[in-house]
Amino acid sequence: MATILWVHDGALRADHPMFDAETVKSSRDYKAVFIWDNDYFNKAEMGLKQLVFIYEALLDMPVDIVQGSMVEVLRQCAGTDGTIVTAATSDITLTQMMAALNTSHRLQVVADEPFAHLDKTPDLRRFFRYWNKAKSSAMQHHGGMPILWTE
Amino acid sequence: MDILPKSFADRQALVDHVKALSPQAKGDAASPIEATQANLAKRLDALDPAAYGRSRNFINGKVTGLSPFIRHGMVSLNQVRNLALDRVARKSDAEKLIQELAWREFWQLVRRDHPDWIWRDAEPYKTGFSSRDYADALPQDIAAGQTGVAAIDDIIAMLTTTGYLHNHLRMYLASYVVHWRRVKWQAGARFMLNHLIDADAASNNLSWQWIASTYSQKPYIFNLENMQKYCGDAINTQAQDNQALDASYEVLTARLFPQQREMA
Ligand SMILES: Cc1cc2nc3c(=O)[nH]c(=O)nc-3n(C[C@H](O)[C@H](O)[C@H](O)COP(=O)(O)OP(=O)(O)OC[C@H]3O[C@@H](n4cnc5c(N)ncnc54)[C@H](O)[C@@H]3O)c2cc1C
Repeated sequence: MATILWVHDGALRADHPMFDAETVKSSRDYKAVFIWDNDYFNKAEMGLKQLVFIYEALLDMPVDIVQGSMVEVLRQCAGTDGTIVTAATSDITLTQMMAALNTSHRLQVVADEPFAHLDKTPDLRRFFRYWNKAKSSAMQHHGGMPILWTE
Repeated sequence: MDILPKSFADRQALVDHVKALSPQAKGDAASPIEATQANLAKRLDALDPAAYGRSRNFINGKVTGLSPFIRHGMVSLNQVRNLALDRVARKSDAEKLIQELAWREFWQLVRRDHPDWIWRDAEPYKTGFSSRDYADALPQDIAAGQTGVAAIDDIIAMLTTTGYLHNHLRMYLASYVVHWRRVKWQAGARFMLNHLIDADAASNNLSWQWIASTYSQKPYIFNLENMQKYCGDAINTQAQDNQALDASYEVLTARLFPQQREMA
């Protein structure tokens, strides 16, 4: 059963917690891919300067760069029964792709190291309402939270 | 499925390769800012939270230059925050920097909960105008960096050649586009996304809404005196070359938002 680590443009580092996901570590031959998808780049309004920056960052990463449509390439790589592991994001297009993949495959979305702990979603109308709630946690190493990932 | 190459004779060969892969991408040349681990390490090494707190509003202040690395997850907010805390004797000396990191986190949370605000007004404009009063398209002279307002043209040139702008310069440019030229924030936001190497729809578009007043209580404006205070020699702030900006806040408010005055 194939395990595919889907590396996207919001998680270009080899020590992102997704590389430590149990599914990835226990899979002897997982494959990490970054998909060069012009439709996605266009939708995000990314220009040449940012694309060069992304490609250059990928040169240092343990990942294959493959050109094509993200969802199609991932479905092809994962086969019928593979697992796809990726990094959490708030990007709208990526979130929609994840929802689509979730209907056909086992998808595991791994959050990055947390920045601050919040008891409940704060009022997001204004920054300072958020900051007043987040500050005491944000001002501590690891947000004052137990470290659940390996450093 | 073809695997694309990861080794190139030199940086220009990499740039040519990306151009061939994505010929539709806006811009002619790469940014001089390299996405290498060495460049990231240099910026993390230079991190000085206390100096940052004192000087971050100045164009030549000790800002981190980490945004393209943070935007692409090459370093996490947690890692930068932990380092900032390690570098200060008193926690409070790191507060300003950590608060700015929190702005990034905040915009990501806003996008997660309100994805429609990325391209739609979150609130009405508080300028006395309605969104119908703003132009849909970015005027050509702005795209070309030939507005005739020297400081603004310098900022646009910096954006289109380096792909990076100090926060204050982003604010000036956004305010000029929306309030001086009465152009919809969406058109300006798209232009910046096309050129920034740290382009991020959450931080960028929601900041544009903040400047426009569709995500804040009032529009953000500036004047030449403010630019002269913060910009030093980084851009041309000579009065004779920037007449549209050279006035008091009172005069500019009356000029830019005449209907707001009538309403008051
Ligand atoms: C109109 C406008 C458009 C913007 N577009 C973007 C964008 O596309 N991508 C982007 O990353 N930032 C954007 N910002 C936010 C901010 O200007 C940049 O993050 C900052 O200038 C980057 O430079 P730096 O890394 O030297 O920042 P520093 O001042 O050194 O700050 C450290 C880090 O904190 C975060 N940060 C600081 N200020 C802000 C802020 N106001 N909002 C969100 N995060 C912040 C960034 O990750 C930054 O790298 C925009 C701001 C405005 C006003």
